[in-house]
Amino acid sequence: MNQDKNEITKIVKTIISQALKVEEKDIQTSSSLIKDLGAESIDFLDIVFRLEKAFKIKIPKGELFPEKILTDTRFVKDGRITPAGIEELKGKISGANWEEFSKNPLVANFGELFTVGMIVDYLSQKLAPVS
Amino acid sequence: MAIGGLNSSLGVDLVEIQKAKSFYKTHKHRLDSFFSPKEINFISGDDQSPIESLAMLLAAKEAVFKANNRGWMGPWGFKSIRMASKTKKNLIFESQTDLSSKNRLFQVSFIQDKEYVVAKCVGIC
Repeated sequence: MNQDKNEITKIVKTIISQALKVEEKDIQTSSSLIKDLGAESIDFLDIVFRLEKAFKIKIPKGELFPEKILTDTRFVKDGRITPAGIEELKGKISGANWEEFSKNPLVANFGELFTVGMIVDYLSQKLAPVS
Repeated sequence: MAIGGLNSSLGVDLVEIQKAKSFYKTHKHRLDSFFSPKEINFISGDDQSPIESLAMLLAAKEAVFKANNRGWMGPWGFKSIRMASKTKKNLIFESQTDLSSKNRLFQVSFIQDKEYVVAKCVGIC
């Protein structure tokens, strides 16, 4: 399926609007799902299901959200993500404010990094034609 | 927090029943992606409506996460916390994978009204 980024962004915003019951005009690519749009854990499940249906894809564990890193004792200690863990996460997630997060890298705060733009970037890569 | 020589942790979460209803209506055919067979049986059981059961499970799992001080774990984190058994009033969960508490058990009790389900979790090493 060939879809350009603008098209993907539009669909993602519609999905998030439906899942979180927020107006599309209030959703920016820089919006944090948790901090700005009020997403809870059930909402992440809802969004993943809707994305899979809308784009006709499967989103395997660890691909969109880096659960494996957050449960790896090399990268998490006493509820905090280690410097090695942050480096690992940087390789998986682009566009996050790592400098700010590194000041207080609690696992509990990690979800706040997730923005609408990250979902768009993930889908753009996943849906890109294989050369 | 230590009680009687054991370390215990607490977690509380609240789920809006209307939200669980919307989720169930939209995704009930996908529940087996994220819930175990035992949990699917609990949702479709006779103790309460599927929506109330789903709300209880969602609130309970989030409360277990909080009791475990794991914070946000993403959608697949739900699968790693599994219902082990139930008593008349409580559900017992076990952590399938965890940094420091593999196979730890958690007891979850509930308070419910027309709008919300509140889950209170105590984890005991």
